[in-house]
Amino acid sequence: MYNFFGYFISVYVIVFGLIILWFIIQFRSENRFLLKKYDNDKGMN
Amino acid sequence: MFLVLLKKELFIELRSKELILSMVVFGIAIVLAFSFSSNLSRAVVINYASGMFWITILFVSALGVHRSFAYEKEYDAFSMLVTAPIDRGLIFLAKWVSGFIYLTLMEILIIFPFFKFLMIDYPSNILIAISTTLFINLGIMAVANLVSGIAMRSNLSEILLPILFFPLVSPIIIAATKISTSVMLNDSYVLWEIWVLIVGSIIIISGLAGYVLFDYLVEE
Amino acid sequence: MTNYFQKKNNQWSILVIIILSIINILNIVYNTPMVPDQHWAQKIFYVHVPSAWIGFLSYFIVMISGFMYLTSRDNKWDNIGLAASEIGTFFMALVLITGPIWATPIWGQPWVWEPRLVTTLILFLIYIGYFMIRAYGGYIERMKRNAAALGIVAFINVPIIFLSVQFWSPEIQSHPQVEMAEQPSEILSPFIFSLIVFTMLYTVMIRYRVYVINLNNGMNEDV
Repeated sequence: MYNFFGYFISVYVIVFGLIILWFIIQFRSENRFLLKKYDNDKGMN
Repeated sequence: MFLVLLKKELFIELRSKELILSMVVFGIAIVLAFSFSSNLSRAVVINYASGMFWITILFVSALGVHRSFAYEKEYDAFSMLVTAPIDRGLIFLAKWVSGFIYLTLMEILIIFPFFKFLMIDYPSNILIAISTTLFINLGIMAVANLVSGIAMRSNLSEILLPILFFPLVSPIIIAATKISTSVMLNDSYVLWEIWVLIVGSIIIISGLAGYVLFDYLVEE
Repeated sequence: MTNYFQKKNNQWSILVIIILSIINILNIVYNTPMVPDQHWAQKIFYVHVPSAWIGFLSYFIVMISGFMYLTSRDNKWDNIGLAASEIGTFFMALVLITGPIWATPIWGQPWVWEPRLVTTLILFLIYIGYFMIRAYGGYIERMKRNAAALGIVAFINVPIIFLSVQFWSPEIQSHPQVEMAEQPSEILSPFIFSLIVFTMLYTVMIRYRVYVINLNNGMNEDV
């Protein structure tokens, strides 16, 4: 009656997709902060 | 010292009377809205009356608690309370007891319109109904004062207070509705004993947490 | 300051986590038996229950760090609390998404008033308020104290919320965690393996997040 495999796949795509997305977001924000910090340090010298 | 703080809370209210007045008017407005929205069908009202009553009380207590803390905020009275050589947990206890008194007064004024507007009969066992209601008031006010102590001095306090208050108070909504329905139906105590215990544990936990945490929250 | 993943031991930890997660998924897909009337849907539990476990663990850490912040006033604890609350809410959101997806074929409807699900939802709502306190908290030291206090209040309410919802709707029986404990070992051992992998993933996530928060704070001080 229900497509059990579809539910299974959607759950795994959502969970692991969002975890990977979380890492990407953190990585990007980390790089942004580092870049800004680098600019600030350079500006001071 | 606790009595001095309590006297201060009650004295402010005695002078202005705006808190009780606004609570009662707001409460009657909500009861009116409930009577319109329930379409006054007997079946709906009989089953849902206790829920309606407690929802009314929740909205009103959120309003009242916000007002009672806004006094302190407006005149920056917290900083003066902090400099006073008292246990800051007592501030919480004074707020709790005074809030309980306001809520009870407001319920006395609102209970007759509530039963008459919705055309339901009074519970047969008045004494149990009153005592359980007072007990639940104590629980609601403990949670409400704890939450407003946390949310009050942030920038969006009037939005944050209900957002935090309603999820945290949800066990009391469940318990209060169960208890009141059982009292209205004259069920034996064994059936709703567990809900009294749940409300009691909320009172103890929230009271203790408020007493301890206010020490840190009221600080400058 | 360098990137978090330029350090050797952080590289190793993320590598180990990636490998273990792939093994975990393959293990779940190929190595676990099919339950007759749930078929593939039963395998949702292998991520759903660990997510819920990490959510509650995370909120427990928020409570502990809130307590430590109030007593020690060390910003380190506030950072840990912030990181744990963010990741905890992230996993709670995953629980609230995957729970209804599982319930749709099994219970026939997406939402049932099941105590754990309701407790999760209420905690999730409280933590939305937590982030609002953090965003609009006003004076920063006071905001941190308020947030720490709310973290404590939110977690000590968990048993009461759970008990009251349980007594409120006692007819609902079927639940992942309850069933899991009674399962045969060919289901139980992959499940415990998944739990361990998720917990390891969580430690990596929280360390990384604390690092990024520190970076952000350090940057604000310089400007």
